[in-house]
Amino acid sequence: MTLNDVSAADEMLINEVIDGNTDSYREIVIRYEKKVVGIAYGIVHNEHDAMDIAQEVFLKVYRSLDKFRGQSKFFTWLYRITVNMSIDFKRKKTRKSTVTYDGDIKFMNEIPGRSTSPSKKLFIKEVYNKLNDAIEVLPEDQKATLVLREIENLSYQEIADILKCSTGTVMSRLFYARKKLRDMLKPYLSDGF
Amino acid sequence: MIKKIGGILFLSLIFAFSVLGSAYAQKVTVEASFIKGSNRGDTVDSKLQKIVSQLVRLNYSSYSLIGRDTKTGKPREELLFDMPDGDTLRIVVLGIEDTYIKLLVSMKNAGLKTNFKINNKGTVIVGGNEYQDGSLIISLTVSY
Amino acid sequence: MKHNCEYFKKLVSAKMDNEIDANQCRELDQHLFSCIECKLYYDDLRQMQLLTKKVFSEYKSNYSNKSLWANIAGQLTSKDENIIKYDKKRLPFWISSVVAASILIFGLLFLSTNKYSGVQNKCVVEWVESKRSSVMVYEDVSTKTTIIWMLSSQSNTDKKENIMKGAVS
Repeated sequence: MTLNDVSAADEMLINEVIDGNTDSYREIVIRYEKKVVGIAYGIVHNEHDAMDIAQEVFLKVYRSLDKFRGQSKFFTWLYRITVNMSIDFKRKKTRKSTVTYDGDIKFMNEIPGRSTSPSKKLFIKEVYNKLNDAIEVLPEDQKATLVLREIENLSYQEIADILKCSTGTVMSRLFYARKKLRDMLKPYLSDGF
Repeated sequence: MIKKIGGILFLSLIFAFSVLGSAYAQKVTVEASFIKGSNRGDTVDSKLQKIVSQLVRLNYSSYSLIGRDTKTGKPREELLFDMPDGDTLRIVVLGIEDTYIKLLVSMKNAGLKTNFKINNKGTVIVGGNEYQDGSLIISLTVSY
Repeated sequence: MKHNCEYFKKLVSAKMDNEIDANQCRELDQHLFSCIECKLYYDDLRQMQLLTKKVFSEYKSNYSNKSLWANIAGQLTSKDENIIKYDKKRLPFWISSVVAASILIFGLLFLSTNKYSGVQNKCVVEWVESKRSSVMVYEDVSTKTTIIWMLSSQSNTDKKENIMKGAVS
């Protein structure tokens, strides 16, 4: 299914919801829930918070459907609401400086093609936690851009439409975000994965 | 009820015409930001946030604000700005034409002279002269 | 034309996302062939991208199968349904017409004073002259910004190429 097919299908469902068919909204939720939770998680780094945010996003979208005039693609609008609500949530919630992510990350126990010693497993876990810490301290705009790119594989133009900025700004944010992550992870990168 | 609405309409028309009339004697404000663009470092001065998306097109890796000055003048009035490289930026407000503000901009030492018209609150970037280890960029925002 | 390593590092980041064209790709490959610093940067970024994708994808794969719909459906009320099919009371036609007409007249008059022209940042350069250097005028399509740039030396000719890539794209 091409992107245009997806947009057309979404538009049809939205029109059905506006006509009063709530079942069509269920279809939209099922179609996008994983993506919305994924984006929210990428920003707030907590599974339960991400689920709460996703629920609020879909409720807000349902209540605002009459304001969606089709000037952008539906997922652009949906993801924009998701990013904004996630950032707002994060700002309101105070966090301690050291956070462990054991409950949230289920890392792979084996790297395909390589046997993994217990010390290597610990090392991998440490790198994952280090990466999460590094992402956590990125400025909000860089983090949101990185999440949309790495989780959803959106193009620069799509990200620019969601975040209402230029593709040059998207490119710049990704460059500086990756530069910061690389600087923080440099001691680990030489070991290779 | 009809009288009330008629009264409001009449007052609105009077107000609108007075605003129109005042447009021809409008003062124009020019904000000149003097910026150094360089390929040393990768920082963007936080005071340049509003125009960073425009500056980025110049493809330097760092931008720092050297100075900023705002001057207001009537049509035909000359505004002079001191530039960081010792040159003088001379702006003459030529007037307001339709939806545009017309300006004559010149730099004596650089030998540049240009005449353009720009929308209210619009920004134009002028630059290119070498300055320290980079180039001097001037961002002009014009409003009335 | 010569670019510095910062330029190529930005290209590396964009190449990760397949957002550079064939010319830029060729230019980058040539640079990576000879610049160890950038080659290491490229390798680091590739590793890091794999790590980042792994971290995010593992969350998605462990995502609960329980759908959000059950929770959402329970929170939708009849009031929400009526938001979509709302029925507003209408004003008498003649009052609506008078109000609409006055707003139109007022709005047109205000627009003509340029206060709310709504077209930001459009610039028309009428003429340019320079006694010491050539001058290029660019129109950046994405931000609708006009750039008037003086070119006086080889280094600025390089800048011209950069601006043309950045501004005119």
